[in-house]
Amino acid sequence: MNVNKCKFLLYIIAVFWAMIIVFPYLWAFRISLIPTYTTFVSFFPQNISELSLVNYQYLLFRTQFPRWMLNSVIVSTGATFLNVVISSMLGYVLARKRLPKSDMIFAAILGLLMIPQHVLIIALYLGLSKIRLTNNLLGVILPLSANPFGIFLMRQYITLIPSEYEEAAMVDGCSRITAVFRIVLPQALPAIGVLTVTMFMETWNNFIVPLVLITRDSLKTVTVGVADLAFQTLNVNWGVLMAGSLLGAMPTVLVFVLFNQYFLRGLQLHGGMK
Amino acid sequence: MHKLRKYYLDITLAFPGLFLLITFFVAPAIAIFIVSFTKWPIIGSPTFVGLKNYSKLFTDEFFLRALKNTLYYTLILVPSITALSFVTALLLRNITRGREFFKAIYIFPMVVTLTSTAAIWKGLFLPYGPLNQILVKLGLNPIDFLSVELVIPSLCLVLIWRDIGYYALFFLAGLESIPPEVLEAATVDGAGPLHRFRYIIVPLMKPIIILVSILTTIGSFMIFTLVYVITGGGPVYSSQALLNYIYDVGWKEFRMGYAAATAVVYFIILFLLSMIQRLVIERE
Repeated sequence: MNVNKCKFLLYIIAVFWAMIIVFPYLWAFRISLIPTYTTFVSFFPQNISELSLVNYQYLLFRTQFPRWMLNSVIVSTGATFLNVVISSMLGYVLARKRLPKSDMIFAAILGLLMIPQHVLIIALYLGLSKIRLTNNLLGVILPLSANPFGIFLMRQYITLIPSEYEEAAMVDGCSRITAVFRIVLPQALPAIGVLTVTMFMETWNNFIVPLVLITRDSLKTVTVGVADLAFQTLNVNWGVLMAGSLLGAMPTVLVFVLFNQYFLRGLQLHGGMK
Repeated sequence: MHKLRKYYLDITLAFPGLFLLITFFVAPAIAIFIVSFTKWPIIGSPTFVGLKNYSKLFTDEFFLRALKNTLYYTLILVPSITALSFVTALLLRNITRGREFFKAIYIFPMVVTLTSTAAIWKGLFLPYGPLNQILVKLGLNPIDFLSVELVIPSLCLVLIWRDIGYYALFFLAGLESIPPEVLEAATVDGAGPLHRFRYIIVPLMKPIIILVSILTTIGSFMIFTLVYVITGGGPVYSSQALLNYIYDVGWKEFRMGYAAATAVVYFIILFLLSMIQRLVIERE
């Protein structure tokens, strides 16, 4: 009886906490559905007819929002793809110690993990503006893809794959490059999955890099665009801002829902070594 | 020549990664160090000024305020996130049915882009916004969340709300690795739940407590987006964190040399902090 009461109490706390977590998003959704500038409304609508999609309409047709979304998609898929490719290749070489001083190179890469990218942003800006890559999506993709975490992850994972498989294949007459693609790559797929999901989340959410490197409105990513909407000095249009916030978060939420397990593993790995 | 052929494939595989890292990580790191010794008003060329930027920093009222603010954020965030995520993990551990569901909900804010979360909380904090409406309904006085005195605790509230679920996963993994026999043995020996917590669970969780406090310290130093979106550093610089200060010096005042020096000092502080924490871990 006592135990049951205790369990019940725990569930009440858990549900309460879940409501606190969810409330801001529900409120944002509610605000995005009212056609006025006000935020002073009751949480539950009196009747259905007072709800409208006018804010979404405004966002999609009167602002650059669709462009921002497209830019974010280009930047995050581009940077993620590039990072996964270079990390797998370099990770393989370092794991198998194929080059002289492989361990030293790896130690240096671990050292780079200590440096937060924020520190480098001034030099990135100065350098990229010299070669005219500011206000250019490629100029955002390249620095975002140069993330040492992926190399660390892939190197560690491939080290765990026994090299005997490749060697056996090569004895059977397979070239090394074929062995890498046909034998190592399929076995490394779980790590590649974790890396892809983690990198996509990180690049989509990145704020400071596109903020500094892009000033032209039509080239902004959605994070910077939403921040712009929030920062209008005169009158923030709350309905539009909330609609933008929610739509802008959709892709990462979708990735989370679809690839929950990869995401959680990636978070723990990433946090565990920062 | 023979050697080159032997390494041909490996050099090809390693090159793109090393190239990107050197161009976009190593070179900027060296460049920032060099730029920090110059005066560089973005238009025009840099002039060498030696250590002047650094000596100016330590009497710069705005830098010191940003440093103080960052330490204030850290002081609030580290203990509260560590403690509350531990509690959340204990809660999740004792829930059997629906644990995965609650886990997914608690981690949800971490999935949502921080700019979106910040924009939403900017609305929640409005003087006539929903938080104050709730306070009034409860018969309390409305609060000016973004006033000079309260702005840092309010922003911390957002980060605590956002991060607890994430760090709870670390603790949960730790709790799940405690062998049940240990707790059963203690129960047989007459230890109540509080005793079990104090003398068995907490000591076993010590490595995770240290890990989470390190991660939240680093996280506190990384505060930028939230401040940028919600307050822009105001009112009167009272919420400005170090990264916001660096951004302002670089992209509002266009003093690149000085911003670079600030970034170097920022990195050194962060580095020293993590070294100290590493020493603490090794002593444990």
